[in-house]
Amino acid sequence: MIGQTNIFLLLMMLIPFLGTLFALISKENPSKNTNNVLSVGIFTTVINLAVIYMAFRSIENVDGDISFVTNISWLETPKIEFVFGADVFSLLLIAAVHCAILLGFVGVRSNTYRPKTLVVFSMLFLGTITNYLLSYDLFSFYIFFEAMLLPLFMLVGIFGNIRKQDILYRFFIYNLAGAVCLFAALCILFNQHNVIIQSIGEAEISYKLQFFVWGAIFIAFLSRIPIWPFHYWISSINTALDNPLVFIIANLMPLTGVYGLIRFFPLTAPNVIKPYLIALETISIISMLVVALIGYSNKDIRYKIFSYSTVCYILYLLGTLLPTDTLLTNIGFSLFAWIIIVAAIEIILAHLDKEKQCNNLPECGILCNIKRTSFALSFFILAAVGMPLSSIFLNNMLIFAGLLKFNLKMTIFIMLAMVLSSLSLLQYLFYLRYPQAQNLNTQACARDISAPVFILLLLTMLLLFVSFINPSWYIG
Amino acid sequence: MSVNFIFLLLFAGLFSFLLPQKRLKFLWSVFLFAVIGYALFSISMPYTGKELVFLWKAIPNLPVPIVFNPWLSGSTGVYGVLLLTALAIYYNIISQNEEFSNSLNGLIIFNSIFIIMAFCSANYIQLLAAVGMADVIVYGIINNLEAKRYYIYGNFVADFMLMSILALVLAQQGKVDIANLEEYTKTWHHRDFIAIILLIAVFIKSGFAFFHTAYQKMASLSFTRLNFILFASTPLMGITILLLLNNILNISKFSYPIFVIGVFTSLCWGFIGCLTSDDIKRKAIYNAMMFWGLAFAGVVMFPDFSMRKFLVFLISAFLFNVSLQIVCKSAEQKRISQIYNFYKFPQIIFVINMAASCLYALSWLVFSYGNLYLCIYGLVLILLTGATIASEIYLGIDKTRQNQRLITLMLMALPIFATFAISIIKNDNIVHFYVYAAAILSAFVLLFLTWPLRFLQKTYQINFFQKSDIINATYTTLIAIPVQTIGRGLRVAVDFIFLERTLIASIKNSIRCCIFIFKVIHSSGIWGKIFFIILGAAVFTAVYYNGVVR
Repeated sequence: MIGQTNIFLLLMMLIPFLGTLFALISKENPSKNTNNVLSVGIFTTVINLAVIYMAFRSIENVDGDISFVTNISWLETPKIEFVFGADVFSLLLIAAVHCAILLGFVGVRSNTYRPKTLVVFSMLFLGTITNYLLSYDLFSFYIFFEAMLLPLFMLVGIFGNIRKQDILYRFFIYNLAGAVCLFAALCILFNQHNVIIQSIGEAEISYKLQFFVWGAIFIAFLSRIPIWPFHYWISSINTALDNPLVFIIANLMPLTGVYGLIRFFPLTAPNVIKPYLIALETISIISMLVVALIGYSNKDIRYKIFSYSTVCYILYLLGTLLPTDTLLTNIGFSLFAWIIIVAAIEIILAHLDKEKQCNNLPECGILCNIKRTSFALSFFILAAVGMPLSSIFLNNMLIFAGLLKFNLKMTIFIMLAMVLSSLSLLQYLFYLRYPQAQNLNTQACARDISAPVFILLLLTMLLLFVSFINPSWYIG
Repeated sequence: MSVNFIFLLLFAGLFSFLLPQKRLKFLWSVFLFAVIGYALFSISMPYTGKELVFLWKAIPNLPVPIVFNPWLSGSTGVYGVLLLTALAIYYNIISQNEEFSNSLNGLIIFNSIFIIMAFCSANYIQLLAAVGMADVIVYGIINNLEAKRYYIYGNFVADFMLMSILALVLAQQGKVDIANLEEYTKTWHHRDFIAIILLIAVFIKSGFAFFHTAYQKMASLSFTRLNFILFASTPLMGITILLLLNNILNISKFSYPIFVIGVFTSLCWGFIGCLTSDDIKRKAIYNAMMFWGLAFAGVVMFPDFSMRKFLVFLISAFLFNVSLQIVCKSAEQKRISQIYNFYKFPQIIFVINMAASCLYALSWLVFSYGNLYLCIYGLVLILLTGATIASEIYLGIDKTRQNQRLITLMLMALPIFATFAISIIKNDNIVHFYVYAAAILSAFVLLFLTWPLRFLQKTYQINFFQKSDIINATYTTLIAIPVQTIGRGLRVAVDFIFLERTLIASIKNSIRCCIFIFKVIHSSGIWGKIFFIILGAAVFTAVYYNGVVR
């Protein structure tokens, strides 16, 4: 039974699942052209992006509350009602996730290993994460929070490298811990009826129980964020994936944890969470520094990206935990640009990996004779580190201003971690660009990215640059 | 006049950047000069109250007005930037060694727009955006990987520092207007932190001593690009930041000592480097370091800082480096010790070289007039540098070259020096400068002929002076290597030993243990029965404790 509805919201939620169905029934013929199933994925993502754009156009106020709400009643006893809603923040994240997965589809266009499986599970992931980002009640929130693990588990299992068994083991352990904690906490909260997340602080629970509930929620969301000691499973996954689309999807997992904390904590949670917040801040900063230091010393680019992602995610997380909600829009704009940048970097790196393996080339200096790839990678890395090429630049400044206002020393450590992880990315860029004397003759073998991909990357650069000049250009 | 020239500059730069590189070079250059000419003409017109203002929504919840008003915020500065841009484009065209000269001209124009944007900044957001964009443009101009690398490392850190202090001011004050800084200095906290970080950021941008590695690496760039970068781009942005935010320096007791140490070290380092480097480009780089040291000293120590005088000094320093470029090109040598028989080259080069050196010294005199000690100190450095380089080029190692011909050449050039000197002095209407100018010229001639620092030529054979990169080595040893070592240590200790070998291994073993217990329970042996009874007893105890005792 559908109550109050919004057509954009419904379309946004359903299109990825429809795409999954179409991808499932589309023809896969690895011996010939395998782009059929991929075209379904690309088409679905583009259509949903158009719907998201339309939804943005119908929003009048950037700082407003929920702009669309859809209620779907399911059961009377127990009373279960799905509530979906969207504000600018969640729409920004959904748009960024769609753009990232679209780039991922382009990155795997020449993939011949089980393309149908790849697209189907990616679309399923897209559907579940979209619904998760739109969930406004505990029941749907929990369902989609856990549901998105299934496609990722399958993708890592199928497309991971030789260490995948170990990685899946860690994946299982950490996520099981998170799932059990969240399940227990939400069961207690659910006894207070199907609570809308925004009114979660009003639930009448004893102090001791509150302490347990919020602690469990904390652990559940933290299990998705690369905060020590939870960083290990995510870093293991990130360094074990060669497939760019799966890497992009895995890299979105911490977003779900951060989003969960953002939705649950800042202004809705009771005072009982204060001790947790202090502990979280301390652990976060230590994690940032540790991961940034490890990333700086690690030679694997995927670990460097993971290190940079960790620092950014934790920065945004700390930004949202401040006792103000004015920074939420800035965090949304920064996350929007940042998710797209990481996806673009990943597809360029996947191309370089392929060239390296096919032509047996050394990694050092591989970019020196491929101008388009070199230009694109330089642009995205410069944008990632915070040069004025995307909305990260100024919005991050405001986030830092918010953090500095509350704790100068803590923010200095955050900045230090940010500088370290940014420098490690720059370091790698020049490692790829700077040829060693003995490799000079072999560099000519590497092929540049194709013109259509380069055009897509140019469009992505344009999108990022426009988001620097006016990040809310698409909002009505 | 309107400020439409900004749009004209923007489009000219864009077209120049995108234009085919090997076509219409001359015609396009004429167009660029016309655009710059129009811009100069626009600024020279009296201010009519029109300015370019638009509300920038880069931060949706903090829209800021972006203002382009060269009249209100120092038209002389904008005038100087445009003149330097014109000079850079001119030398780019006539040097004819740039493959992508149209593209380079486009980037030079873009850079000038962002420097003008910084000059006109009335708020931090505009200033930060201009600084960052100019850095990206200069990154594009640098066409050597090693130089690019060090440039972006340094400037990324400097931009981040600048961003962090402006974020702190914004956080505490809640305002983004630069005009409100004075109010901040009276009220708020973390003053030392802000002042010190600002100084370090500015030092990095202007390539001060200990922060000059990026500029040292630029010795492999062409002279045209090098001179442009040294005088018209990032270092100029550094001094612009200081001019706009100089109120911040007053808030800390540490800023003045740090500033003096930075300036003094840069002057000494630049001076010694300029005299001990065999490579002419490195001499030019050290000269720029010395120049920025003097300029910064002027900004802080001269109570009546004049932008017009500063720009004359800036252009003179730029022309001095251009004269070195001309010598380098004429002699077809990069190393000064390899320039033999240069006195046989066209006399005009000699004249230009001498005139540029004297102009440099005289412009400093004009700039620093009012602070006697600093003026003398700067003059000594500039005269010694210019005269020693001239002596090295025209007199050479071999003393037999000190012949009558050179003296005749120098006498021929004297009227030109005088013309330069008079042109400067007349503009300032200070009659007694004639005496000082004559003294400076005499001192220069004396130093040129006597060549007192000839012993420094011995350093050309010493690798320490020519090849060692002591600052880079220091940074690597003191920062990069320890950070990497800590990172590796943490990786082994945290990730591998603690998480992999302890935590995850314990969980694995616990699960194995559980599986073993359940296997035993479900077996038909005696141990299975015992375990089953123990388990039942445990459940019974727990239920009894919770249900009855509690």
